[in-house]
Amino acid sequence: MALAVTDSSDVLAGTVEPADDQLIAAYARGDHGAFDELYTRYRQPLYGYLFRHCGDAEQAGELFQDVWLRVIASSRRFERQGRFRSWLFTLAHNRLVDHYRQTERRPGTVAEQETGDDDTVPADRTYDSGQAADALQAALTCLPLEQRQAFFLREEQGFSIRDIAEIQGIDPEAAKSRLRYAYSKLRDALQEHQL
Amino acid sequence: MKPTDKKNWLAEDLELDREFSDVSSKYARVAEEPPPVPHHIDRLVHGVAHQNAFDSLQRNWLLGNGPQVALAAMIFFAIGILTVYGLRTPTDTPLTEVGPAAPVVTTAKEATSATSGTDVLESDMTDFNSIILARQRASTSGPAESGKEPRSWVRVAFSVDAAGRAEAIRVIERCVRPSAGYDCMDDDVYDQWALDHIRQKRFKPTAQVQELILLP
Repeated sequence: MALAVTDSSDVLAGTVEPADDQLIAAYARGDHGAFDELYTRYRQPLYGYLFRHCGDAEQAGELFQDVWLRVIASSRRFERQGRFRSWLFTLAHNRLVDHYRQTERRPGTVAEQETGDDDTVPADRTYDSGQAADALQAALTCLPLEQRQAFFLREEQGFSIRDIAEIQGIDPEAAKSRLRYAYSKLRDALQEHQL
Repeated sequence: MKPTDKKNWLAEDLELDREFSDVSSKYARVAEEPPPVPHHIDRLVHGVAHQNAFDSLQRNWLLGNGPQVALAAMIFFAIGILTVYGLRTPTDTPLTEVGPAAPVVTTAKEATSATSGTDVLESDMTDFNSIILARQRASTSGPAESGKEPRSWVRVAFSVDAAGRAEAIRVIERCVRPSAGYDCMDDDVYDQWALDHIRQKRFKPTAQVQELILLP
């Protein structure tokens, strides 16, 4: 896991992320090249994050598109210095919450409903067919959305506890607690399968 | 600041990493790379973004409200400059003093036209006409009698600079009318008086050499 950036090191945050701010500010003034640069930086991480949640390329693509449209629409109102990355994933978090609220389905249940078999891992799932992957996948599926999000934000995107708290709009202690619950449940699942 | 902000979250992050390093490493092994972003979504997002950028440029013509205000200020400033320079452009209008009135202020050109009796002149000009007529009479038919004719005058020539000051002042003649006829001669007192008087005045800038007749 690559622990980043924003919380743990203000120095790094000061040297790396302001470039994102400059780009979004330039885009707000009409420089579409700045947007292209931002998009190139974050398209794959964001898509991967959404795909992990949905497990479905089409649905992930739809959410991905919505998030970027929100970025475009809100670019002139962006004022959080050095926090574009957090802001982007906050938009993604909100979009995911809306999505699951609308569909009234817990994350991870899509594949189960489509296949009708809880023990089967679909072909487009993100994990290999090994036991560890199955066990992890099953455990992730059972996690509440917030814990699952916190886990992916940390493992996939390298966000710190404070970043996750900011993205999820909660206290850092609560974010840490979510992470601990998620990791513990995944560990239990792996141990249960003696992995 | 909240109590939680005082916590060393870097240490908390590291502690969490240590505590669950086994889960992280297993997850890293089994997690596959997500598929790439579909190209049609890339195209769609780029299209919307570019359109939005174009709209922003149209809305913020000349890069925003600030420059628009600056542009308006520049336009008004330019109009002001043009107006000022337009007013200061030399014209064929009679030379006019800006400062306190001199005893007689007019030009030789006006005087010439006045002698033909075609123009209606002001009271000062009437005096000047008398001078000219008297001089003409003096030069041709000898002394003339006129209660309006001044007893003395000084004729000066000068140019006017951009600030309206007289420069290159030259006394052409200084004349007196003792009893009959006119007597023009050098007189330092008249010269100095004329120079001082002209220097105190301000005139409309012009490139032409001006002439004035001053009545002491």
